[in-house]
Amino acid sequence: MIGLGIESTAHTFGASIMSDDGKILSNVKDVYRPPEGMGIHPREASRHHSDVAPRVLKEALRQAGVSYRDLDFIAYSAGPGLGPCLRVGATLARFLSAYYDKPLVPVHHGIGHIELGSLLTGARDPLVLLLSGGHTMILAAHMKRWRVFGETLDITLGQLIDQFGRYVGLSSPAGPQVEALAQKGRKFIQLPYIVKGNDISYSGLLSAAKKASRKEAVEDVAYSLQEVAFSMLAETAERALALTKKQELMVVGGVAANKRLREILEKVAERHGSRLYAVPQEYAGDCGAQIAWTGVLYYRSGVKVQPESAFIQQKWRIDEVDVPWRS
Amino acid sequence: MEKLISRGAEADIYLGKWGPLDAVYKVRIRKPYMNEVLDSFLRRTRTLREAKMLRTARAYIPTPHVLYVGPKSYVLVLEYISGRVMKDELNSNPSLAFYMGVYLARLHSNGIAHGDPNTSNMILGASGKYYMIDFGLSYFTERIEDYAVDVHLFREILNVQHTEVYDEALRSFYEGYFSESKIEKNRMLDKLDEIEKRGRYSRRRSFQF
Repeated sequence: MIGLGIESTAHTFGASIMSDDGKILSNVKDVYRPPEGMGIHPREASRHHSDVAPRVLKEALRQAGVSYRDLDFIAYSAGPGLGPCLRVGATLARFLSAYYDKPLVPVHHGIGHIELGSLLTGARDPLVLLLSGGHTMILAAHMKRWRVFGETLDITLGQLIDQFGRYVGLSSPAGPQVEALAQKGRKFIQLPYIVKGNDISYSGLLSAAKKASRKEAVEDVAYSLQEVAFSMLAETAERALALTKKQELMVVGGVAANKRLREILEKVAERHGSRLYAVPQEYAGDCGAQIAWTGVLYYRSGVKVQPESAFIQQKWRIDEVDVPWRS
Repeated sequence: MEKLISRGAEADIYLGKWGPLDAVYKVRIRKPYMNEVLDSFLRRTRTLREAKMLRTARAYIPTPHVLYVGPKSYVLVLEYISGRVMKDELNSNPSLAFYMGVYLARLHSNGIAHGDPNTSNMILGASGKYYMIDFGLSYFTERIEDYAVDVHLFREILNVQHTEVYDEALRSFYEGYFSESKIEKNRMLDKLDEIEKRGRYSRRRSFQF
């Protein structure tokens, strides 16, 4: 069985062909980059996605050596994300599904990150840190749902880093550039550390970091920002590990590519007799493979929709979604 | 200090003696991954804060006696309470959540947010008295928003740790909470809604295109 996954929730338009034995036959993407200092503009991003879609899809098929007729299903990211961007992927998926008469499988973007992470790292029943532009959550599967142990009360870790980066003049997504700056930082600047139970709050940290960047070296602020933000997350991860006694700690999503974060989480896992499973860097960011693979899991479980009832959900809680293949 | 009984996120807990008394030693240990300045700042402020809030809260609800505070060694010595943890009892007796509701409401009515109201932080004492512990994230506040965050945190814990009895436990919790709270029920529930919607993907808004 092989399927196509289309990803288009935010910056990235991606397409991937995967087989049901977990082989990534192709994974092609093109990332929209807004001008320096600017955030993502939904309409501009969706225009980018429409422009690159034919090429990305064609290339994904070519690399996998298949045609549309060979597919068993077509999966798309149905949310959460930016409306205009989601619509590009969903419209294409619906058209392909109707035209080639293939089952259509809607996928929750966050679950895509988790399931691709599980496949690639071999984690079987992990405590999950989902750290993307749209999510900062600690989760564990229980009774066929991903249950939220802790999350941000306001902005996500991805937004924190990206908005700080833009404020100091970097272009979005700014994660890798902020990380490079932080590596040059030496001086620790005290910034607000806010943990509430298993939840965290980053908005106070963002304002304080922006303010600090007006009088301190930007490298030092980037360094301190990362240290504080990651330590807050590490503390909540430690709480969840202490509560659940999970043997596996898995980190997925764009921010999972950060080396300092991985180093911290290694030590967190070690302290609790657990092991860190970090998604490989090239699959940390948004990509078609996360949708294709989760599509396989849903298709196997018999979840699909008719093209005419295809939907998107800009806001879509991960803990409202059934995951029939999980414990 | 004798025996390590638990390793939490921010402290190791030992059982020991304080003079003739059985005592709990709560030691905030160095986190190997954390920046040193931040690490010692957090350990010092939380040790001091916990001692202060345990003593303040005692006026309103049962909490263990503070026997010793060591802000430089990051150690807190507390009266040992023998009993069981609510976490281990709630699934067989969800109505116990009532008491969590009562205690949180009393704290809130007196300007205190607990900051970490989970079912591991309530001890059902062998004497029949229930104690609240773990005040390291506790603080003084007059904002209804902060009280609602406490309630949200407890709901979150019920959802992940007591999924099977969620509805029943939550009902008992609210019963207890609103029997003592000075805040009107609808006002609290609206605030909760607001918090849970904020900046996150909370509401189902599906549409066809």
